[in-house]
Amino acid sequence: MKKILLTMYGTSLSGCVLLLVLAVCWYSTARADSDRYIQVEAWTGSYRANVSATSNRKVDMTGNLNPWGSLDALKEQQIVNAQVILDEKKVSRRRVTWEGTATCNVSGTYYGKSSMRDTPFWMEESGSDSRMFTTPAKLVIHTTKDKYTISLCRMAFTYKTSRTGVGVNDQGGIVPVSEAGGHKLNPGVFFHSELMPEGPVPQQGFHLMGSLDIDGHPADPAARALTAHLMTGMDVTGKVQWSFTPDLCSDTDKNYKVRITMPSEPIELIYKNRELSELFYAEPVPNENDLRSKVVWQAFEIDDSTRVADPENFNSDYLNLTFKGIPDHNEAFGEKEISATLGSLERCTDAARNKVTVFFEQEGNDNGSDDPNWMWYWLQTSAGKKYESFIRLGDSEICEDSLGYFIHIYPDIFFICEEVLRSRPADPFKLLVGKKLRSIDIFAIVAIHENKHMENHQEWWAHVPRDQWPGRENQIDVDHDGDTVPDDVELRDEMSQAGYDPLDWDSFNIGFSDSEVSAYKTADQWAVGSADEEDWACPGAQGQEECKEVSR
Amino acid sequence: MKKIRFLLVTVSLFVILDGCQQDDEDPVSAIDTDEIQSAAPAEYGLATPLKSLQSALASKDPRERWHALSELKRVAEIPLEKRADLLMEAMRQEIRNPDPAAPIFEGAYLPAHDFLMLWQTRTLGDLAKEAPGIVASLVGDTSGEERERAILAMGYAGNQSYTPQIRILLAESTHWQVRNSAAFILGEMKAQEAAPELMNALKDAHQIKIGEAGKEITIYPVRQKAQGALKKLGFVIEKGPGRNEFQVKQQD
Repeated sequence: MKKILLTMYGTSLSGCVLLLVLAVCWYSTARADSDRYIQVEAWTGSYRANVSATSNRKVDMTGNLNPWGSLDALKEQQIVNAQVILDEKKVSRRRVTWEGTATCNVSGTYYGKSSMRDTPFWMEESGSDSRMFTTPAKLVIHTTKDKYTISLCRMAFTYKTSRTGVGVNDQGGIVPVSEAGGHKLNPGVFFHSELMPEGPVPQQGFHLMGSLDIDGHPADPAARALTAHLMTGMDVTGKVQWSFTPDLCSDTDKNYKVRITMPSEPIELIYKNRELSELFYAEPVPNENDLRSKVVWQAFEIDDSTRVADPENFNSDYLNLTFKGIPDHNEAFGEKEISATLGSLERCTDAARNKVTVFFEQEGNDNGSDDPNWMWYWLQTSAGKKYESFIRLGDSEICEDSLGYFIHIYPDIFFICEEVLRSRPADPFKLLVGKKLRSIDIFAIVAIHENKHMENHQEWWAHVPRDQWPGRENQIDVDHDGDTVPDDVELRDEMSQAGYDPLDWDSFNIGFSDSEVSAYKTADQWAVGSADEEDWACPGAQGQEECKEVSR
Repeated sequence: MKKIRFLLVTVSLFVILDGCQQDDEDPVSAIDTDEIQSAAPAEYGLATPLKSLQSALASKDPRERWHALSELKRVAEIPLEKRADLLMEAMRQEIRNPDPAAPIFEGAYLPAHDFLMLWQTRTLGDLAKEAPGIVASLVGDTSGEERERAILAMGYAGNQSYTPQIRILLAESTHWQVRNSAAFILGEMKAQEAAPELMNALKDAHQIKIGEAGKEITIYPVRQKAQGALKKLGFVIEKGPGRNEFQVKQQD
């Protein structure tokens, strides 16, 4: 029993020792993994490899062209430029994946001259070509591996035989029988040549123009010896640039952060004289000198407007943004975002962000058309799109008393006045009472109103000769009260029941002629506020501070 | 000591009662305008507080004065008495200082003064629908054109008992706008007994020229309103040879 107990004790002890060893092993492995993990984490940053290399291939030869003649000269020069840009896309415990593009620009010139043996005839050809193509590039970097190759410029090709020739027809003219141009032939007899490649050649496939070899681990700045090979086997000249901007935000020990200090709140930017400019400042935390230069900005763009940034690489604690040229399209304005990080925005999820809202000056006139900004841009919104081809800007003299007008001498258009920015429309039927109207609402309401006048005119008077249109005594037979609503229209059942009287200019005793009644009754056809989200005028419906428009 | 305490209490009571009595005497001035101001957003156009409304009714811009009339009908937080008072004050100002401006809205044919007076009267009529007693008391408390307007307001509100007074206005008022509205109201009220006055009004002399110089047309507004009213009473009206001439044919 004692033996059994001792054995059991011994077994237990051995088991414990074994467990302890296993635990230590596991810990070591885990620690090693953890170290690697930390190491990988430390790599996160914006890696950029820029390869700019040129290969010059020169051919200069003479020889025989059996059986007809000789090659007097063949000169060819090919230049290949390649550039690779890779950005870090994915970081896992043991490897970092870079993805990007390789761009190759291949250009060449050639000159050839051949002669017909024992004849005075010769042929000359020359030309040049240039092509640029971009292919995806990818590089997966492991924790231990220290030699890498990136393929450069995979170029698809299809091989074709070349067949050239010209002949002389019965009339003595030169007749092309060639598939290629650029020939210069001393006139004479039929000439024909055919070039075929020697040996088996694939008819189509991919040709690798070069490669980028990285000798050393990319994470180790001291080991970044790179060699670029372009057109393997040929002369290579050029340079390779390698840059690495670490994501300081990923250093969890230091807890680096950045905050946008100017402006510290969401801001409203307004185009003035077709230009918009703003200076942004960010402050790293801790605010150390060497960190300030590590701030990376990501700034918005605006369609149709050229962005100019200072500094150009967006890499500083300040960013002076200028946009030149005001957008043509209303939808280019609106809410944007600017952000600053100490590393890549994609990986630094706690980037400092600030909202920027871009407006146009409501009363400005810098949109490049003859119309003021409010009219140009609102005509692109639901408030005016429907009437875009009918609306014109009103005459300033007539507009003194009006928000808009229709004149029957212009039967296909109507006019809108700048007064829509200042006055509430008349509302004799109280359809707008209690509604908060902004300028864009008033613009829409006036457009619907004047459009109704235009429609009425087209229905009531279009068939009448122009010199007999309303407002003249000679219309007394068809419009006895002179209100421009024809008598037969006012006598229609629905009009009569509504209160229209063909013998009364103002049937409803409201101080307006009857022709205004149907137009003013359109006031509630517009859903007030429905174009607010499209209004980027300053002042307008969407401003918060400077651009907030008080409703009327 | 007890006497002093008694005196203090008595004096306090008098002060309190005196305050209450003042409130009873002048309900209009008892409105705390600051309280109304704070109870409603200051933004004009949504819920116009008293001070904004007063300011709008006294604005130099006739269009703003006109828009204020729409608001006046709507602002429930201001007692009707106060609103009627504000409106009558605005009307008084308009009568004393007629606005010389031309028509203030597209399609409005009346000059600013006539247009505003027309709408002040109609708005008073809207208030009379809600509180006929208040406007009726204005008929008794005012005179001249103010009184005429108050009578018309009762007519706009549909109060038949004012028909006789409105007939008198149609026949006798020296203000063409009053005669014009009287004719319109009598038609709306289908006041058969007003037929003689309406017949006479077909010869009303007031005329207005409308349109650009050289192309203008002349209308006789009171005649137009009278013929419209007669139609509502069942008369058949036919066009005369001239624009403002009508022929009464028969009564249905």
